[in-house]
Amino acid sequence: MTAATVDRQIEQFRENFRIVRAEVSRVIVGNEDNIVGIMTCLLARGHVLLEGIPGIGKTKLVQTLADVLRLKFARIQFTPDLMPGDIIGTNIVREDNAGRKFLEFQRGPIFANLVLADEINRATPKTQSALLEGMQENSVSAGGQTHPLEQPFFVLATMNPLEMEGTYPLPEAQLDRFFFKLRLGFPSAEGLHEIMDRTTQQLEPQVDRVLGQGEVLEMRETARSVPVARHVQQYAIDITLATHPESERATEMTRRFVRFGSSPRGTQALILGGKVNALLNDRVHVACEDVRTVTLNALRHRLLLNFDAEAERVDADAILKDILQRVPEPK
Amino acid sequence: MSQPQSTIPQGPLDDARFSSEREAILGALQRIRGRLRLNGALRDAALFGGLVVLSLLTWRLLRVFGDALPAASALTILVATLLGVCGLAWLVRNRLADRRSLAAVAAEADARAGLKDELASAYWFVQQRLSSRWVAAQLARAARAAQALDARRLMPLRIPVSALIPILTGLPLLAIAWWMPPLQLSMPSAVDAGASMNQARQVQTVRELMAQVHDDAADKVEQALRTVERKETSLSEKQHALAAAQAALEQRKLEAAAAREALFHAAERLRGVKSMEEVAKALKDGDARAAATELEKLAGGREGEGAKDGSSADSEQAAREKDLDHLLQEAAAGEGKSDTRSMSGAAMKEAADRLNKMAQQLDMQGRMNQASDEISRMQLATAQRSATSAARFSQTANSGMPSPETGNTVMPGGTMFRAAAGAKESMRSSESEGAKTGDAIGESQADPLLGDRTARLDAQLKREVIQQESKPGEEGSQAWFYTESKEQKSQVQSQDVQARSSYAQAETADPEGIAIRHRQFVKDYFMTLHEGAR
Repeated sequence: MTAATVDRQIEQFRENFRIVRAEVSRVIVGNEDNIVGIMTCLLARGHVLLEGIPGIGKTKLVQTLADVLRLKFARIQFTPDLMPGDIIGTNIVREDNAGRKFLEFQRGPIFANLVLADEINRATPKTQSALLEGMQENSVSAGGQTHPLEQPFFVLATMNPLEMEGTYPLPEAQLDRFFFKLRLGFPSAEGLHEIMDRTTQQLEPQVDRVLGQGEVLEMRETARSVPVARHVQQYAIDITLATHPESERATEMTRRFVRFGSSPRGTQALILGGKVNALLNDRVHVACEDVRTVTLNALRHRLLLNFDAEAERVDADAILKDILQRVPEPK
Repeated sequence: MSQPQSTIPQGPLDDARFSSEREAILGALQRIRGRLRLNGALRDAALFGGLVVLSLLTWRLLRVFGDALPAASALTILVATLLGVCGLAWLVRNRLADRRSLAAVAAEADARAGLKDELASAYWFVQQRLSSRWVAAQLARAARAAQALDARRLMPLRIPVSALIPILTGLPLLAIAWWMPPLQLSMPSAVDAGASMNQARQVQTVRELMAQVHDDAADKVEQALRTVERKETSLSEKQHALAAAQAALEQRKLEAAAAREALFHAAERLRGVKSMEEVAKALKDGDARAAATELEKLAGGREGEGAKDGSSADSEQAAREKDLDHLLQEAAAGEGKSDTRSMSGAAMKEAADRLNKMAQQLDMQGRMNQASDEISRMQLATAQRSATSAARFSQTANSGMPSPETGNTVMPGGTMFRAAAGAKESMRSSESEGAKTGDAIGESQADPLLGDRTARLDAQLKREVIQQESKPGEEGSQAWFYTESKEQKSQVQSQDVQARSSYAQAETADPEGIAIRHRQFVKDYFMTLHEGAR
């Protein structure tokens, strides 16, 4: 294999990515960054948490992506009475032709490639935790047996930040397992016109399935292959350490408003997200700019803010932007 | 996070395959480093030039203003020397420490060429000798980018503006300073003119006062006045000259005081001698001239008698060697004794001469005191114009004799003595009872927090003695302990009752706990609490 092979691989990666993005954009208006963010998570073997007000198209975006990818899709509507067994599956008693009874594991909706966990914060923590093992280990345990999940396994969870009543905020351990947390903003007036044009007529736009399981797995391998120089890795580590108030690299804002900083998973997300971003920018190496690009999405849900931040309405994004301004690139 | 082994296996790089890319990258980085060093040398040269210009400027300014402002010149030389040495040391250190690594050069080149860490990453991969097809692809791309780099365009030889600032600002100033003639003295301001006129008047006054005086003190005063009058004399020199003159006048004051004391003692000695009563009275009044006149009269009467025995020359010689006290005693003792009359006449004559001299000295002393006052005022005026700090001024302006009583002292012991004397407390009061700690004298006030309510320990405690049983043949031993006194017990119980009462009152109070007259205020507060938010 030569450098030309790598160039072809990168070209293929970018082409596949472009096709998916173009196809999704036929249905979804705007949100280009979020489409890229979701695809980055998919290709970096991560999971994504989507946050946005109701009706903004979170579920539609995920459904469209599932339609575009030739992957098994399952949707779970999280409600307070949802049980872990409803997600993972359960052993049921069956009878064979001879009349002998045996237990058979009935697979739950988690056994799919794309799992949409809609309104994940409406289920109890016990049920939310049912996703933990699957998200981290790519396998689930039921009835004393471990069942591997088919690859690619990709969880897309949506969350409504407005309604607090009857919801169960995700625990930090659960939040940390999401690779990116994406925020869907309200569309502009022009965007709203476009949405009306596409969705209030007889025919709604349809998408084609353009990418199969094999292509996705290949793209994942390609993304992991991108080499990272030590100074870029150092930059990602510096950013992570700057989120810790007790670290000597912490910024003034961090010391003032952050209770706990990002975990090492955050650094992994910075590097892996940077790799995908480097490929999208036709680069064979990760640059500090790639790390900067993914920092907000990768770290905003990993920062635990203190009371002062709540009182002064300082959010994680403001702290991360301050960190990006203050942490210098290593020479 | 470790690199995946499958994608970037560690191991020696295939030199044959990648050497050209590696050489291209390293060659480009070396070229860029050369340009960076050249730029650094140019910048340092500019800074050195600036340092030279500033040194020349300082030298020229010292030539211009040096005579007019000697103190400022000294400070300027010090500061300029320090700055120059620091600047030179920094430049030398900069030159010696210019060991820019290729990694830093790569980062610099990436930043300037917008290569987004391409060269820096490639250099790291080369350094680590990582081998994979992805690294090879990266090196190939980086080599292409490095070959496309034009080091001259990327790093043009340019002196940074910040390095040129010293030269650009220093050169015009140097040109101005070069053509500026040296200043003789700063132009006197209106205040200075007034001060010098006042000083001239004071000098004239002192000269008039000291005109009749011809001794060492007068010489020193005249010398000081000449120093003050000289235009080129600095303020500190003036201060020193005036202080020397003042010291000489103070010495004369002491001598005059001693002379008055001597007159008084002489009067005491002559008390009871009938023939010398007038002399004693004049001496007691401090009138040395009158005393001398009286003595001359007495001596005139004896002069004829003394001439008869022919021994007056020897007597006069002997009298000159004695002090005033002895002379007067001799004069008094000679009364009524024929054999010593000639001797006493000579003593009287000598005593009269000495008293006349003392009278003359005392007459002059008044004028010298006035001169001393005038010199004090001149010292004050000079000190006010000098740059001496207030603390030093207070030390130098006091030129009196060292003494704990007058306060004109530089002896710390004297000051401490007076402070200790002032701190002594003679009044005793009931408030100081039970609180006699904390002060060296032991008479401090009672603790203000407790006041006169402080209870002594022997009022709070009662000593209980337990008589232990003794064995036969042994003396009974005693054990003791302190328990609270009756007074203390009753006080504690009283406080306990009061506390219970106030607690019960608080428990049964209005559950809202807000006084009726305050309720409206509280309601208004909570009604308008979120007014701003709405």
